[in-house]
Amino acid sequence: MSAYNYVITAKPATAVHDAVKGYFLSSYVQNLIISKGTCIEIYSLDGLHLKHKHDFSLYGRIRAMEICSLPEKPQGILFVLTESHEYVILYYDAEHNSVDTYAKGVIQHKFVRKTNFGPMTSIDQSGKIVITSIFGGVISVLSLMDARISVLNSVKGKAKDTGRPNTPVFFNLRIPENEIISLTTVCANDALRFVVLYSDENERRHIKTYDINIATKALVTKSQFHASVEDHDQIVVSVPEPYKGVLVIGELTISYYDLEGSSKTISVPAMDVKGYGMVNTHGPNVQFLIGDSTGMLHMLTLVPVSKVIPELIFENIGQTHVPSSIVSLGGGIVYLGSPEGDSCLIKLSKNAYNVSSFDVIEEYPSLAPITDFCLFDLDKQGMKTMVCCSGVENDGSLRMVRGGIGFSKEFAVPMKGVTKIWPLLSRNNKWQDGLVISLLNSSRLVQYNYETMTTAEVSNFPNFCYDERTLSTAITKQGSLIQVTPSWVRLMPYSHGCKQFSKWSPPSIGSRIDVAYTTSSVCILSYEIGVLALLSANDLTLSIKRERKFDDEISCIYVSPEVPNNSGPVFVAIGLWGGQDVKLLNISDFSTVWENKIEADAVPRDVRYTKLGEHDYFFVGLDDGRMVYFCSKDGMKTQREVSIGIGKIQFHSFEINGENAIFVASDRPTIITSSHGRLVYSSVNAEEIFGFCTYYSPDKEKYNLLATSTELMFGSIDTKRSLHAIKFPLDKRMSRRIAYHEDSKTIAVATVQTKLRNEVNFSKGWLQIFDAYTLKCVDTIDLLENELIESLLSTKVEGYDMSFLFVGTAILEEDDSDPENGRILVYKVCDRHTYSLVDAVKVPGVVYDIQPIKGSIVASVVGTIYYMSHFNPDANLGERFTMVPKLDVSNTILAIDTDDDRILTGDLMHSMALLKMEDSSETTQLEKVARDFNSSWMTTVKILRDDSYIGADALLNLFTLKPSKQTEDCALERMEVIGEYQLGDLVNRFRSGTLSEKSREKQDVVIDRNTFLYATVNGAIGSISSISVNEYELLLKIQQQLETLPSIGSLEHRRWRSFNNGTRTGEPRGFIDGDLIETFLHLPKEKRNRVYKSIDNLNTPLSDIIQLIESLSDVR
Amino acid sequence: MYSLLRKRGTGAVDPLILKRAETTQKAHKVELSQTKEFKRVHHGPINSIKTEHIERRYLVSGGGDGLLHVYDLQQEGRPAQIEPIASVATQDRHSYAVSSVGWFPFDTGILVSASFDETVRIWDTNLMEPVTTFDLGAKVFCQAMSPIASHCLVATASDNPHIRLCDIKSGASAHTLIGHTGSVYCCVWSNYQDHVLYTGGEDGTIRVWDIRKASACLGSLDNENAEFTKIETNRAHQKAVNGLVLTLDGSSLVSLGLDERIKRWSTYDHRHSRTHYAGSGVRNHVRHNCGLAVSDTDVWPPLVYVPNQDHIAVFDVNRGNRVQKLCGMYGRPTCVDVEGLDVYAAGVEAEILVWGPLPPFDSEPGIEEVTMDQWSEYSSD
Repeated sequence: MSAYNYVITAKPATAVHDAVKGYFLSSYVQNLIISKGTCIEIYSLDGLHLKHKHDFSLYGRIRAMEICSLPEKPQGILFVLTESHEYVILYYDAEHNSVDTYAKGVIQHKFVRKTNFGPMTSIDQSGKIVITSIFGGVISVLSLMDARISVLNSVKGKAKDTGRPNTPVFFNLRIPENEIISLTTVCANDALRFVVLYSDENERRHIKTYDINIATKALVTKSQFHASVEDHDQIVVSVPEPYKGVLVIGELTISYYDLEGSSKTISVPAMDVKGYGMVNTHGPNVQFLIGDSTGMLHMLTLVPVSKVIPELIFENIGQTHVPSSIVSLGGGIVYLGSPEGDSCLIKLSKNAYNVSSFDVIEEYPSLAPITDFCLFDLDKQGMKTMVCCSGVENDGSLRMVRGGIGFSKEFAVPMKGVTKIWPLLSRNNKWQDGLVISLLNSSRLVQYNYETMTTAEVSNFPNFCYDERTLSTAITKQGSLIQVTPSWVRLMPYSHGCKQFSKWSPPSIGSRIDVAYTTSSVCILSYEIGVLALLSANDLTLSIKRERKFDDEISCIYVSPEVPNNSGPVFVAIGLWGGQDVKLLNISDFSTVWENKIEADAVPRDVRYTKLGEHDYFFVGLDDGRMVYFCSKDGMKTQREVSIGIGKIQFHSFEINGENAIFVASDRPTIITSSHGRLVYSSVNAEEIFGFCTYYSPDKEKYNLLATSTELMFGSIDTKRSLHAIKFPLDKRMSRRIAYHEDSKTIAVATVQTKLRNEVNFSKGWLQIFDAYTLKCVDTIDLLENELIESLLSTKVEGYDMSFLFVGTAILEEDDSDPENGRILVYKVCDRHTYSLVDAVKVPGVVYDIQPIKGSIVASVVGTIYYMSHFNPDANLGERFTMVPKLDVSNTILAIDTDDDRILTGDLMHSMALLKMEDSSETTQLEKVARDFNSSWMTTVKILRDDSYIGADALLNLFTLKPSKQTEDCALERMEVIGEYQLGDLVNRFRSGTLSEKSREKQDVVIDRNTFLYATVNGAIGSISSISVNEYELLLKIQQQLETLPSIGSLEHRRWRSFNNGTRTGEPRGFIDGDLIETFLHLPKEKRNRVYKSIDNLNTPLSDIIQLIESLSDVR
Repeated sequence: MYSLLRKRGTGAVDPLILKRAETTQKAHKVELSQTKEFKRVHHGPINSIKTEHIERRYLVSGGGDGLLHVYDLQQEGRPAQIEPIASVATQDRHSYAVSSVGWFPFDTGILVSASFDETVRIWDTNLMEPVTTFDLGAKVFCQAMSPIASHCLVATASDNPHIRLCDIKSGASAHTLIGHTGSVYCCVWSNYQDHVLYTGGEDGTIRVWDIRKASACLGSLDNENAEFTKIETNRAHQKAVNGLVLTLDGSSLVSLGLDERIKRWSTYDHRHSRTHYAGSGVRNHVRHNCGLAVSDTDVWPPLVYVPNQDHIAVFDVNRGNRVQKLCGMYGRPTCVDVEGLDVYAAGVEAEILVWGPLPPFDSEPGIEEVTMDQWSEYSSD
């Protein structure tokens, strides 16, 4: 079963690797184009805000981008280079709002060596020639000089003319430099000139110019400029007109070369440059921003003092996130894209003393890189919380991630004790201009003033009852405001200053109105014991039209909306105290249409009779947080029960994507929608909610209002489920490992701070304890000097009830060589938050991982597995536990996973091996039973069911193994590869579990899948689930069909997902790409049917396929 | 490694950089393998061994007994010795010694062998039966197939100045390259351009051929870097050239001559690099092909493995210093090949030895019994 896996992204990558600007979407508004993993996002600057305009993803991990231009085309086109060295050239088709492919190709060589510094691209000044360096000694040139985008559709008959000259020219050039560090194109009079910064065989660095003759596709070797530069120089950048030279930026110096023999060098404080960008903002000076690995931002100004050589001025302007790309958007506004922390928008300024500085205007959260995470269910309500170790060095943070529907708050008004909110609709039928807010013992009214165009509270509305809570309110069809409070029903004109009004109260003195529901045409209320009355409001008179008496008091009322043209009946749904009865009445005569008893020991507190999808539902909210419902599918016979929260719940109808939905206000706010005849429950990413409404304000904004215990929030509810993250900064420390301690509901986090001390990086580590509810740090435990935590495990030990925290460390060497010592420490947790050290033992090397096994633990210390052979926290210090080396396995075991007596090891370079523990009464023996002989550089591994094993490697692949019995006398089994897949991101950790919500319906049969989560360097979170062979074959057919649909850039899906470890490639197998399969759900119905029909030999009904895909895609 | 590993986890270091650093470090220190040992099956010397680069799992050996054996390298553990999983039947074997073996670069199902019986044979690996035999009329010293080409030409170097190109597809000898004087001992296809071939022979020249052209010889390499096109006057070595290998990044050609010198040439401009190979007193006096090998591309600078007297000498290709001496052979090694980090060498005593990276742990007594092997004394000066 586990041999087949379904991989789906739950939260896409957030690391920004590249950003460029240009006129991509239109010829008059400049766009900022950002790449994140496989996705490209396009923004435009709107004041001080980046406005999202478009996004799309490619079948490939994006490594470089450039904006190019074509002759006769005002808009720019986008050159994108992927990890697998495919390039595509894309342009935007405004008419169809789509991104189309202009050209594609692949830069491929077999016997070449990739440069250490990754693919580099540079574009010439005209924007028509892109040069690329991927392999040592090879420069690839793409020329768009004579290229045109054909206008096949618009110009009739001319299609034939546009054949040849349209295609871009592409060729490779060989140069003798094998180790290219950086390159750039520079201004030259006639030819295309570029400069390479390279390292020679003696590891000395130089710069050299080359001229390319595009027509002959050859290098012009005459008049080459060559200069030796500093050995720490990292980047060569061309400087625009009027200069014709380059800047060479290094760790300790910055130099300007005019490429004719003159140069100028200044020294700078030591820095590791991560990003740079030109921000040419002030007058004649050319300025560059340079960001280093500590997040320090520097400004380099080139002041023209002579004709050829400028003066260089270098200043430090402040600290922010570590940028990979710096793009100036004009007006002193600069975008900083970061792969190591949040990205941001800054505004440069100068103070009175002419010193540059900047302010951060906007921040764009990023989880990247996720180095570790933990997953737990705090209140055992089926809602999982994930806490990620995110960010590098100063950008370190913890991120709390939860699934559900997001509510994005735009603003909030502080207000305590809100119980309900109603929007008031007047003047026209679209915009609402008032709100009635009911508090515990009072009411408030907010109105929009059309004269001042502001919304403000009205505290003197004539006849409005302010000192009682409001039970229900509405504007009648005649335009009057009807307000029901426990003592009165008031009817007043909804125009300010009009004093006329009428009121009604229950006939017997002292009796009060218990519950009410008003619509624009009727008011239904209940008073005394079980009297249900229909009050009609005509002009300004209130009169009882109908009454019915029930034996029990009425606890809740709901009136279904009027059917257009009176074509159907209007229903009144009620719930009663005592008998747990719920009834559906016809409003015209209060006759019972349907009734039922709730089989639950609780009182109905809210009812709702509504249509969701194809069926009618009768929902009953109980006072203990449960909800029961009846569905017209089975004639409203069967009672189904759902657990929503633990307190009172309240229903509110609204719409998502034009479909009916119900917002359940409770301690765990939930949205109920229908999908293919099934109800779907989605948590809302908010705390306890007391009131909800949808409000179309007169300034034509649609708001969703949520009332919490302290404030009234205005914002909008997302239309789709997603993962939501909250940031908890770590005060310039970086978290690397994390473990959840169940008993104390605390999280143990390994943090580290790296500082430059005597020109050597020095790292200090801590063990920090956080409260799992609030993520507040409750304790910080010091380690040894130079000690860093490499592994954390919270587990129970045989013979003890409580969980202990095991910590594996590395003790760093002074000279940054590989640590030769480490420690294993054990902590116990007493009185809530206090972690106290039980004991510590020293081991000869880094403790890369610790995992539980049969009531004890195993640890990987470099290449050896250690086993805890003895544990007694009550013994003398130094004798409380013993770690013994059991088995030398391989080179460096970075990850282990355990299951019963099996241990799976993932090696730095030797793939995976399987060990077995044999536990006899006297000794515990470990034995290597199987291994994979391939050379795979593992990052993390996991044991699946059915004797199959999965691992992630450093070359961004996932693969599965299964032992296969070899020849009889061979003791060691071989592990065969049974599945291969390119994930396209470096996985740092696998952990069992899922972020999808536990099914809330008790009756639901849940397929027990082996599901686990992964987290990546690019900040992506994904889920891998096992699927059966039948499901695999079915989904594979769909996948193959979806692969035939056109993709952006015309990149092939199979090629993208092919296993590739640099020496071998293999077609994807054993894995289904859930991201591709999920697109099936979002295809237009007609297209989906077409895809479905074009699959041969498919006997599964479409609805079953959709249901399967939905269940597998339920990861958020 | 540890600090790079930490940086890999945050994306600050490309995984490739850690892989290269670690691979390079390991490649510089290999030791006679404790887990891999080959059974001696050839009678007489082994003249050529080759690993394949598709599955990275099999090795073929060709011996003085005219036989070919194929071994599965993915085996581990004592006391089991690696035995051939497939062998040429006695009746199918070459009638004289096999001088050179090779895998079809795109499919492990085909093997090529050259022999002193004046033939080159193409074998079906699964059946271990000859599919095609080319009769060359002279002792064949070396054969080569292009690792990048769309053509299926086997270049042959023999006891005849003419280089013959045999086409596997048609089963006929397609082409003859004329220029050398005396025997030709080695040939290797360019790994950058599929029509370029390098050959070296008795006349001490290394010639560069473009097989598409009528006057096929583009030039020859000169020790003093004279004009490349002065084919007839240029000399690469003072004596015969009998070993040629290209680094896997395609940038350098390494040659070995009977003048007992190792030389490096740039494939970009055909210039002699003048790298001095320290202590390059490589004993090399046999007028046969000498099977050199180079390290994986992740090892940087690249290493070249040269059979020498009683050991394999490992040199840094770019700097010329000797990195290691791989000892343990009984007799004179004749050929060497590399798969990943493992180095395989065979010699006149019919043995195949394996060296691999050192395990990270000092084998402490008590964990695993270590029986020191009589071969495992190695020296690395």
